[in-house]
Amino acid sequence: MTAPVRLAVHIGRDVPDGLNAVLSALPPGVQPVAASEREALPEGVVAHLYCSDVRPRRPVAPYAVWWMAGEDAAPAAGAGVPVLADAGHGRPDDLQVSLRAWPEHARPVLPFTRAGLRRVRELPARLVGESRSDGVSWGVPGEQPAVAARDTWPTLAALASAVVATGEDLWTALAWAAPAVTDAASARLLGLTPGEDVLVDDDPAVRTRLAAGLADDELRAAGLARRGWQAACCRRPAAVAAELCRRLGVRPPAHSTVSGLTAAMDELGTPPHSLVRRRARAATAGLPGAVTSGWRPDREEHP
Amino acid sequence: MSTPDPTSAEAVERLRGAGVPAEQPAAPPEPSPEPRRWGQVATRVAGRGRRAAAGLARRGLAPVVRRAEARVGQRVHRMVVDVLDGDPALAQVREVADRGGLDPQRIRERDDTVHSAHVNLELLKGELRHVQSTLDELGMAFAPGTGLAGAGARYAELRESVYALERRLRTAGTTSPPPSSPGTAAADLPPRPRPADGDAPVLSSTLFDYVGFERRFRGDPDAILHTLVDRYAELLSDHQPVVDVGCGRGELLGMLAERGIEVIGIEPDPGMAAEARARGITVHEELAGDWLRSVPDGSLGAIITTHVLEHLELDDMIELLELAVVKLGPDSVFISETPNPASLIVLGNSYLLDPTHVRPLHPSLLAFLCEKAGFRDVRLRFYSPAEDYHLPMTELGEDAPEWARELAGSVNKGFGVLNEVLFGPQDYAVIARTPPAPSN
Repeated sequence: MTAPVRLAVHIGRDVPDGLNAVLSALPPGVQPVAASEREALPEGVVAHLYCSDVRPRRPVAPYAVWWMAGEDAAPAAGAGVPVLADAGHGRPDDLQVSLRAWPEHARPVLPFTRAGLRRVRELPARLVGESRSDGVSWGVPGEQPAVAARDTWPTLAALASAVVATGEDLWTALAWAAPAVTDAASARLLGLTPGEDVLVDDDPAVRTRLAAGLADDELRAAGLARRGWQAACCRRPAAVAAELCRRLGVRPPAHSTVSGLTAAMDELGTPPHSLVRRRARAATAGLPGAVTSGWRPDREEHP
Repeated sequence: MSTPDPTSAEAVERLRGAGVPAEQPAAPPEPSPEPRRWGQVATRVAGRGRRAAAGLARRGLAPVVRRAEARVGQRVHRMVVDVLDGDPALAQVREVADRGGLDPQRIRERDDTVHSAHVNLELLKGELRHVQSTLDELGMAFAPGTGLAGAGARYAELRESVYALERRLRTAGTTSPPPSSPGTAAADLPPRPRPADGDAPVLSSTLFDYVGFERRFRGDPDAILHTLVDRYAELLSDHQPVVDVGCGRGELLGMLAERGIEVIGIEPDPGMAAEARARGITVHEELAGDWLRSVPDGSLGAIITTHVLEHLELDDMIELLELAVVKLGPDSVFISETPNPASLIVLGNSYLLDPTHVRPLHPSLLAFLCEKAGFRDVRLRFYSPAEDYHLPMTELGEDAPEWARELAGSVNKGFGVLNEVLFGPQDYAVIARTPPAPSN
């Protein structure tokens, strides 16, 4: 049996919720263990995560530091030391954790695909969705927009050429990889870089004009959509946990209960019950054990 | 129930249906009727073909299949049932399945729950360690040498120091200036006059004839006196001058003086004080507290009280003990003999008999009060068990049967406990010492 790889966690007075989420999302085979400076470390500890006032004096193993919400200044960590923080609290290079729920069905729908879907669904070729506090509206730029129910926002986020959104609706839009325009407060809350991940302006009229411009400029919209989606993705606890392990050089044991094919599909972000997944399985099931790595057609697949 | 995919036609219909259309809504193109009609015809033809083929198969093969199915099915069913019933693991599998244990979704949820619980456990362990380190730091602040383990003892020492300071503060205002010559005896100091309004009297009744009561009930005075001398004279002779608080007629001090011991008597009752003076003893006719405050600190060698403390109110007793600590010199002796209320015959007879007793003084209580007052090396001595009342022990000869010896042993053991509780020592003395002088 393969020995687990352990991440020693040094806890201080408070335990942020984000830390709990990140530790829960560590890859299988990487175990978090509570550690103390005064006690011997358990076997298998390959890295440390400090979430307290105590900082390592003479680190012998790679370590990361959690930037507590109460601290004004960034923790004095060495060069190359990963710093984790709650979303909106850290610096651009820090691993920022957002506890917002990932929208159901959300997947990246990039501008070219969006255009195709709009064509199939007989929607306008240039479509801008806008989320305001009083509701949701959509329409062709320069024309009178139509009002829609609040729960149709995911559809607009998935199909619109560009969206104008703030707060939670912005998170939904980014999850669907929509080119987004927002205000400064929302961008700051999610730790987004203005101009790179989203377009930012505090004037609603200007935001509408920016969105119309994005609807006309597919190339720029595509770049913005990709970076916005990546920014949102990398704030999810599982992504932060994976990135933390990568930066710390923590590699889980090779053994996994998930088949190689399924793992590859997961890595590509293929939806659990998608047709692509089924086709891949069908194509590889006949091969003598090479890719399926133990997968059997009659078994429930790892989601 | 999950919501439809936002990119689905249904979701787009909802978007379109709920909304107010724009000025020129994009009208969906009309589907051409021609392909749809051909499709319907093809579907109808295929359905008829399938039905005709099924009917043909049913009519031709159905009886044969049915007969074979019945025979084979019964045999297979019997075999499977026999095999499965004989397998004990099947019951467990069924049980697990009934609980939903084989549902992959539930298994995954359970795994997630276990993993979360593990993470929470580790985080809690971390928090606990943080609390532990905080406590350790607190312990090191209290007791740098030993940490948290020694913090209790260190705290007790600090508390004792605070008490000592408090005592010194309390007595500092009433202490007379030090004598001009160190050799001046406390007995030579003029007695302070008794306050006009008077402290609380020793006796609660001015009408009670205590002298007559003592004569009748206290026992043979000479025997008591000799007993006291035997018990304490040797110890007192090493610590002079000896002060007898509540010396009465001064019998004890008289005998001590005969042995060359320097003695001082304190007796507020004028009649008794006069009788004591007639023995040639220095007697101060005032309350003990008043007199002790008037003498210099550390000027006394020993203080003895016999059957006095149980007549005092608690605060007066504590004040007397604290004054004694201050006025006695280093490594001096304080002796107090009182009735032992832990012996029930004393409590129920001699103690209750005296109406001037304020409260019974349990040996442990008096020892505790002495320690709190600042005495060191506090010891208890017990005297005069009520042996006349003791329940007799049974003694059997060697030839007695085993059961009789066992019975006698049990009875003797019980009697021993009863003798201790009911007829134990009638008096006890607490013998306490003041702290020794500092070495430097």
